[in-house]
Amino acid sequence: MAGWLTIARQEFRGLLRDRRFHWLCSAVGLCLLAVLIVGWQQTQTVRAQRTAANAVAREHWVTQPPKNPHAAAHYGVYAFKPQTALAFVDIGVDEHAGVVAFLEAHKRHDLTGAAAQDGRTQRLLALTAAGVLQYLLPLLIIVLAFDALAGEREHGTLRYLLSLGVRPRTLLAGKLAGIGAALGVALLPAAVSSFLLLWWLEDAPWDFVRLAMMAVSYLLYGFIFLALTLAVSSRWSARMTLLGMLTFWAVSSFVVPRMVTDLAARWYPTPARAAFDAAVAHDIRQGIDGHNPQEERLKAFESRLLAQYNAKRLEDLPINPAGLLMQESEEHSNQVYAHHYARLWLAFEQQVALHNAAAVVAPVLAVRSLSMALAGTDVFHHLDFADAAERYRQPLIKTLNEDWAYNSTLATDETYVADTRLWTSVQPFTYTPPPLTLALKRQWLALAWLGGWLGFSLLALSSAARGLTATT
Amino acid sequence: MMHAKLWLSVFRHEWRHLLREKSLWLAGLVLPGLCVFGAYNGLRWTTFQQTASAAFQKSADERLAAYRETVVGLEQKQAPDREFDPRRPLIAGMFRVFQPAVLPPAPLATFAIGDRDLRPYAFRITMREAAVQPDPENPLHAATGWFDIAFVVTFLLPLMVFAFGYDVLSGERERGTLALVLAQPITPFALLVTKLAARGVWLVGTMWGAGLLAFLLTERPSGAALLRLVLWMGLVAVYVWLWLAVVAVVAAGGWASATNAVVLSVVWLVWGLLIPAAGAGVANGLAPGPSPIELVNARRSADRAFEANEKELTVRYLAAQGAPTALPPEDFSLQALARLAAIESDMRPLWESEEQARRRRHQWRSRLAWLSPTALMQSLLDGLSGVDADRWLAFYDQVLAFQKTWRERFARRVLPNDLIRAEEVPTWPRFTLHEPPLSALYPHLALAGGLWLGLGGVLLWVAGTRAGSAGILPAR
Repeated sequence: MAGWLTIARQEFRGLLRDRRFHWLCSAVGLCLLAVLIVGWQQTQTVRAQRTAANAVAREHWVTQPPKNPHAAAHYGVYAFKPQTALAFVDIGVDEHAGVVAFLEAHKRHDLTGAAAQDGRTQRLLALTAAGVLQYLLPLLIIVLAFDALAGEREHGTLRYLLSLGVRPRTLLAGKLAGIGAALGVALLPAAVSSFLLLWWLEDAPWDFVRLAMMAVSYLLYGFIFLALTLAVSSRWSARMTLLGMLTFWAVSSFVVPRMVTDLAARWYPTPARAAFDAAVAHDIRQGIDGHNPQEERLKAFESRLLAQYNAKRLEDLPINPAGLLMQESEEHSNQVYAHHYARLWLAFEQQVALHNAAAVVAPVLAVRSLSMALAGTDVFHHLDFADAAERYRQPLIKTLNEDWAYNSTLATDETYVADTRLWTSVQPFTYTPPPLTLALKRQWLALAWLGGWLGFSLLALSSAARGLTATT
Repeated sequence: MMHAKLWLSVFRHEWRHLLREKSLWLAGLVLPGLCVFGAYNGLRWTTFQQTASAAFQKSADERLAAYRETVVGLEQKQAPDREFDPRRPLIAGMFRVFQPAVLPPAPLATFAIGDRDLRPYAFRITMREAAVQPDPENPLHAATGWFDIAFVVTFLLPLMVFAFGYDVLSGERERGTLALVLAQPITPFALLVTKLAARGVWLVGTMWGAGLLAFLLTERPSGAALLRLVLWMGLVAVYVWLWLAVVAVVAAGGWASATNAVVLSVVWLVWGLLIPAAGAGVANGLAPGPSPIELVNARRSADRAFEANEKELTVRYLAAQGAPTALPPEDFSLQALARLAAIESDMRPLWESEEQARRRRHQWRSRLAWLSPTALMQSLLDGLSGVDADRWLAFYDQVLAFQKTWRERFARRVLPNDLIRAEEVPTWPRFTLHEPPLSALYPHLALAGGLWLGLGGVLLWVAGTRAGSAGILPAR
């Protein structure tokens, strides 16, 4: 039998007899199960609520009484962001991002209705499965493994083992496998439960692939902490290993993410509401380049319209110019909004990129980004929904404006009303989240850093193996 | 007397020993460094808030000035009244003018960012509503939180206390020097207390220095700010005392240093992370309130209900105002006012339920915070910096009250169609915040301080008992 397997068995049995292991693994395992079940129940409720809300919004739209299409454009449509099934594992930024888009004429509104608006959440640790795995799992690993080698050395058994011919690599592999297996036993119920809960929630095969990838990410994350703890334990005393790894855990998990948040906000600032609105209003009035004032633009459009219909006065047109002028304004304001939101989104993307770059010192940032992307709850998914809502708003308003323009004239403007035929001709809003490949592509940096940490931890283990001798 | 001299002598020795520790000096640089970094982040927020509020106020002033110009123009031309005449009270109050209501940063605001990014600090008051003005914010930042001095004090300071105290006796024992020290006429408990006292003095001194430095660099000195700084210093001292007492209990157990570190980490985890996180969940569960989605759909339903019975509801509105109920010719102002009243009447139960839930959640969070020193410390530091929920709720109440009077100002003139005159525009009231006094925080500060001093005393007593009964010489 391979030597490493014998050592792994020994380590595994030793841990199973350890009261420390019983208490800590039970606590983390139960906590994980509890947050999975609570998260699942909440996700189920929220998903049902948002699906129903979208149906109600559609019903409100198609059953609205006859009215002028422009009045309908201001009546607007509500679009509710669907919650992904895997939000029960990782809620990501969902509680801090809006969920309702109000789509009406003239204005692109921000998403509203974020659950955390009145300080509902505790931001240092979200009690979700992802939160437990990102913050408590490393602690559990450190506490269980800090004396795996240092303890052997301090008790004098390390020298004995090595002098018996046990190769350092075999010893490290055995310890790694033994502790890993014990942790696996503790976390297996939660892992199995998460697949079962997902199956009860939804049977989309891609979500199972996403969940499997999340499981692999957390497995790698756990491996990184275990490998680093063993590597440090091979060189330092048990006490120093514990202190060093706890410091690394606390700094990388809690200090670095917050520092990066502040640095990102400082380096890639986003405007205040008043400044953002003022800039949009200015560009709508003056043109994005400042040389295309609204008044002149609309006058030129009127002239083109009169020339097109060979008419001298707007009143003589066979169509309603108000609808087309409105649409002309919409086209311009759409460009202005696209310009300003693109700048805002760019700042958000740069901020996220900084968070991912900081994963070089804090592996939690890499696994957090990957986990949120796989769960469909990261910033990019939020922006994607906001853009999808805007892509729906623009043709919706265009349809209404053109109906108004081509079915009435200035003379019949006040009496013209559209009815259910127009409302039902507008397709309902549907949203499909971006595919898995795109979600991962956007998090390439996080993926790269997780790989980097994996490589570093393997190097650290290899170096630890070289440093372990009978005279250690 | 004899004991006091001995204790003092051990303290002096420990102090001299500490001063030779490189890690202590490193921490002595790191802690103030983190505090100054946190203070600059707080300053960035404060400046951002002030600039944004000034821009908001400016845009309101410009709009009001432009509106007045329009009214002057119409008056000079003696233009006849029309359905959408800007002088009509409803057109003015609902569409043409607004009043900004902003919550200014309080003294010592740079010391805590709190939930400033989650709770709106600016409202746009119109006749229709008090609408929030949320700044565009990356939701990832909102989910992560900010690095401020309150974070350093609340979460990192206990870790520093643990790092310097976890091996205070076990380290001596593991090095084999404990037996030697205890050969002197000093009890293990006295040794423990004096060693921890030296570390406590050093940590409190460092934090006070760091706080003072941050204050000088980022705050505008004033009596109010200085008073808050003094209270902040007192709170920090009591907080350190409590965590040192926790260290004392663990250190007196006679465990190995590594075990002490594990136990203290678990204490920090439970008190610092798990209880506050669970507390937020429990508070939300106990007072859920209607969801934003429910509110949106209910409002839309109320709007549709009005559309379906427009005439009947308009007559009902006129009757409620004591006006003749014979329907006048179709008029936008009357229709809009009647619609507003009908929607509010339908929505009131839901809005009240939302408001009650918000306040109940806050109450529950405040109560549950007493279960965790970190959660309580966070709320007290937020209170000293004016970014706490109580101050925000007081502001919000005033915003709602102001919106009510602002609306009345226009609404009562809609039915008689009493047109707005240019001369009255500059006399319209502005929102001014009546700042809740800092003294409202005193009972909380006193109670928390008393509780922590008492709890620290009890823990020290337990530590004394453990040190005496278990004996700390033999390693377990």
